[in-house]
Amino acid sequence: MGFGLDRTCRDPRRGIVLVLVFLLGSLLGGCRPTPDATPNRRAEKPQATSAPAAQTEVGTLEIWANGEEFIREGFVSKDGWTLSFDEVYVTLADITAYQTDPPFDPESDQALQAQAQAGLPGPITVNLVTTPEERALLGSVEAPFGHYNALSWRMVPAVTGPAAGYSLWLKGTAQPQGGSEGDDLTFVLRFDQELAFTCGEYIGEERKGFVRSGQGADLEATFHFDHLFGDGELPPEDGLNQGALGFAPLAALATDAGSLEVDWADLREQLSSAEAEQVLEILRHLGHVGEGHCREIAADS
Amino acid sequence: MWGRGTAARLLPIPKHTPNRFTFGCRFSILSMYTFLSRSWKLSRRLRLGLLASSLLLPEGTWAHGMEASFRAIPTFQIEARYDSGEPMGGAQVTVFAPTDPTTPWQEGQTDKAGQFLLQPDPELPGLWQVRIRQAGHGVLLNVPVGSEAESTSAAGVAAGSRNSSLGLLQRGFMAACVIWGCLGTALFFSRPHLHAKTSQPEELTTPALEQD
Repeated sequence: MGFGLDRTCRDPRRGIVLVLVFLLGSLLGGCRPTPDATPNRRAEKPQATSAPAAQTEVGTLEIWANGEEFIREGFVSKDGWTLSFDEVYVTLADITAYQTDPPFDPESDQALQAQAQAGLPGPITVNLVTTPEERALLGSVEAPFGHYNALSWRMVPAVTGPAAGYSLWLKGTAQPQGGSEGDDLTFVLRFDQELAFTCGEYIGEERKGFVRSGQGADLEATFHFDHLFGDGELPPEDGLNQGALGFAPLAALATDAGSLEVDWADLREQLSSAEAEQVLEILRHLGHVGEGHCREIAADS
Repeated sequence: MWGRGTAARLLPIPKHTPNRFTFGCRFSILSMYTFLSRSWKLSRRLRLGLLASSLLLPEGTWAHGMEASFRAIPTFQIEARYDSGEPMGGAQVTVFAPTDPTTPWQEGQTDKAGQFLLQPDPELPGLWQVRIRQAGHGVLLNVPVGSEAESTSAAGVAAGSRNSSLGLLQRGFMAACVIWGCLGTALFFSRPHLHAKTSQPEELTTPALEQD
């Protein structure tokens, strides 16, 4: 009989060998990973962020810049100077919103893994003080549906306008503690550093960045100027005030009574090296997304 | 030293062993049967009836029967602090489930030590997100729950985890063991059969299981 089955039937040990060989083949075959095993497992996982299939549809994503109430309404610095601002210009370029998976964590060393992105090339210069709304609109972009949980931008020198040549330009008035109007000090601070911020999800009263059908979404580049001047409403030992420069070291640079106009080159020359380094460190952490932190990629000194 | 950076992390929580109250009741009835059978000389029919009632009595037979049970659900201890190490005590905590990332699933606040216990619904596996805010500072913590959490450690280290539970070396070693075992067994059974027995083989014995 063919295939030697008659011999196998006569000798049970040959049957056992054949069964073992069959089992061996089955085991080895079972060790091979199923090609689509991983995609299936991921498909079963509930996703809070956008599904790739929905990315063919697009919606509108607005991107804003915000200097917070500190800039719009003024505040008291950690060393008692009452600050009010007339114009504060920032210039942003390569403004990009991302859908990231896993969600980008700026506090970690992980790289940003974008599933989709949309952006404004810029450069765009906005005044954070005199805006019709609380924030300054940088622009609107068409963006695939999904949750934009990361935002990056570069602060670059402005090309035109009063802030031309500077990435950050502040003009305002400062009044010392217990002083009168005659003691006012007008100031212009100009910074030409190019900074790059990569941030995680916007953190605020509500979550932002969900581009959906029939629903507008927005993100925000937020600048925390209390990190530079400190906050007089907080105790001196508060961590924010401990790290802030305050305004007194700047006021001490005023050349004549009632006016101060300096750029970064002046500051680097006239401030102590520790204070100059402190200013650089503060600028590296000026960019936020609401209350969420950012990772500063590079800073020119 | 530029301000108040924030950080949040997960701390491990010991797991509980699940149990059921009903199992305890049924075990008690069986114990009573054993005790009565040995203590009193009950008739065989009565003993069988008692045994059957203990085994076949469905749950909820008693008019005012009660049942209490518990099961282990994941609990995450979250700790939020500033860069200085100062805990974010009394910070506002908002929890978002993976099924609805815009509507808060739970709201609360951290204790004085900046800690918050998160007990997500295990029926909603995926990435839970915990937003912690205080005085203009905020942090968002991603907490994997369910099948997604199996590939990550309990301390919240999610980045860089491998999808497979076995490494390449482990797989190769296992495959080699299986191949060697099968080939060895096959060679053993396929060796030339000796008809002439020079000595009487010892009887193969199997170890007897100890009886209670």
